[in-house]
Amino acid sequence: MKRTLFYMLLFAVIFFCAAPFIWQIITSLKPSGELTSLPPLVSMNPTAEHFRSVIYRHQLVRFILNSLIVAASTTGLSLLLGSLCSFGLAKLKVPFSSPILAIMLSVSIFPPIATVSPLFIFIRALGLRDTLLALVITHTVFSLPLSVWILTNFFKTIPDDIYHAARIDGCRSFHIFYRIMIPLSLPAIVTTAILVFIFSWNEFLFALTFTSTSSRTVPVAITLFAGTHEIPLGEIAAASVIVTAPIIILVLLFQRKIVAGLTSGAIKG
Amino acid sequence: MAEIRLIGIQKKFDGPLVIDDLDLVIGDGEFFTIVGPSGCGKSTILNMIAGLDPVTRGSIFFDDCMVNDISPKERDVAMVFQNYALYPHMTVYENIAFPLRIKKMPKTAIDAEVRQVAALLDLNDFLRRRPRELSGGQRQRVALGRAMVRKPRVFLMDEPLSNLDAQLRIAMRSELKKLHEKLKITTVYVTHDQSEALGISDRIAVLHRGRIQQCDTPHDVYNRPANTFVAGFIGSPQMNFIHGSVSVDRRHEIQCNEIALTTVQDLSRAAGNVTIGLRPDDITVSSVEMRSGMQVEITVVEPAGAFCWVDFKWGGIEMRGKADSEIELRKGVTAYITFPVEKIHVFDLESGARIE
Repeated sequence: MKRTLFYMLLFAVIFFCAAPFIWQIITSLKPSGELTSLPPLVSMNPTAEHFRSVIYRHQLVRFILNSLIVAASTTGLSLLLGSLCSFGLAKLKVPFSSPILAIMLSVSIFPPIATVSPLFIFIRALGLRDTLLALVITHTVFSLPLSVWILTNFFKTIPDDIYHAARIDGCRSFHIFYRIMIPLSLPAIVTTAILVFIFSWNEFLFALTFTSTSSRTVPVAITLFAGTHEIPLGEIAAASVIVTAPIIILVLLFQRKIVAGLTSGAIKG
Repeated sequence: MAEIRLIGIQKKFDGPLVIDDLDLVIGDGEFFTIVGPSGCGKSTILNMIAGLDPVTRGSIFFDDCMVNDISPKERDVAMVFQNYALYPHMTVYENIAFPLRIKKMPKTAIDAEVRQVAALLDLNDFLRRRPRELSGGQRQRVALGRAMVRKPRVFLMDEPLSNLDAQLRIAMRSELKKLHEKLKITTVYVTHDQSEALGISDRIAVLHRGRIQQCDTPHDVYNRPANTFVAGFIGSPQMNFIHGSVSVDRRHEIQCNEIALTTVQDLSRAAGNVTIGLRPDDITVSSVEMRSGMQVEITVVEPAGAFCWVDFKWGGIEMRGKADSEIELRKGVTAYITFPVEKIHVFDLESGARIE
């Protein structure tokens, strides 16, 4: 009895989470005529016309490439700066490390809409309008607090004695960072990377404001499918499926890496 | 190898002094132990010698070179930690080789050194394993190997055996002693276990509240404790302490429990109240009435194999002594105690300092 209840609940939660995405997949395969029919059942005559349309007519591949460049650069930059910063805050004797951490985190509390206008002026002044670099910079700024927060807390869980042992063994701080801390923090780093990548991949507001044509990213591109007179539901659905798929694959692929226990055996217990 | 000299060391974190005006000379090649209850500052001293913690005031010398501002790397010390602190992502081989790789030693030389150390510590079969696949004792040996492979000037050991089970701890104790005899590297060893300190060291410093109470050979620390703290801390079971009084005109006599104890010490300068110390080991409890024996009432008998520890009341004072396990003693029974007069320790009641 208890088991049935458990599975029913589990199914309900999964359905709740997955339903919109499943609906999207079903819609993307429907011929245009059936698009708005309810309930959203799988069509008897599925079609790939929407997929063809997004790829050839709307040049989705170009936007995906833009998104990929922005998200990958943001992830790399955010992790590079974030891990160095976290190492300092967690292991080196940096004065005022707690206030520094708190101030950093407060940056991410600002609603993006409040900062978008001044940032726009800033970006324009730097001559970075409609460039991918503008997005990489802003995304890094807004994802850095998250990276620092996660990595600092993870570094703190690595026993100080390991850090001390490495210093006694003759390591300089930077040696300890890349020979000890980074290999030991791999699970946390992968987790952070995925979170930052997803944030940047999905980010809409800055992408909409700072780009106009050549450097448009996927979320903006999909929104702009809609014309004045029609909303191409099928194409939006197809594009959404194409865009979401890489993220899901990414998470599934690295899920194995996100395992704790890498530090076990370092110390007793 | 090096002689270590600590001169006028003070250490302060965010509050009171942890170490107050410490002077210590650790001889070249010596096995020196700092022993004390937890929180007495012994690990702090070790960290300062290692260079992990800066001193607040004072200087540390390795031979004639002041090392206050020298990094751990340049001090050429090796350290073994209580929880081993092995690198979990490296194999045993890589762990031991790590300090040499940091030194950029050629690969073939590293290989030779690692294999030699591994053979010495009986680790050859585990070189490809990772720390998490090893038992506590094996991990401890890897930690030792990582420290030994560098042939450092100084070995620092921070309670290296306290995480091992009792049997292994005793075995590793003699292993450490043998290793030290072979390598003759100056070793500073920190422990809270007084029996470990007695068993392993050339000399011992007993530390309490950031101050050295006594610094001597194990024999002298045990037989001539400098004060009541050392007397109570070293030796197990703990020394019995009894109040007594000395009168001015009788320089070899203590009045205690309505009995006059004759002492070998000259007490002429200690007139007044004193603390008498007697180790349970030195008190013989017997059921047979002896001529010089004092009558006591037995409260607890605790067999320890070859002998028994016996708790008794001597005129209202709770004390502990030792009895032959063959003798039949029970709770509530009257028995007799004797002890050799030369085993009586006398301490000043106020300061706790030893009187001789």
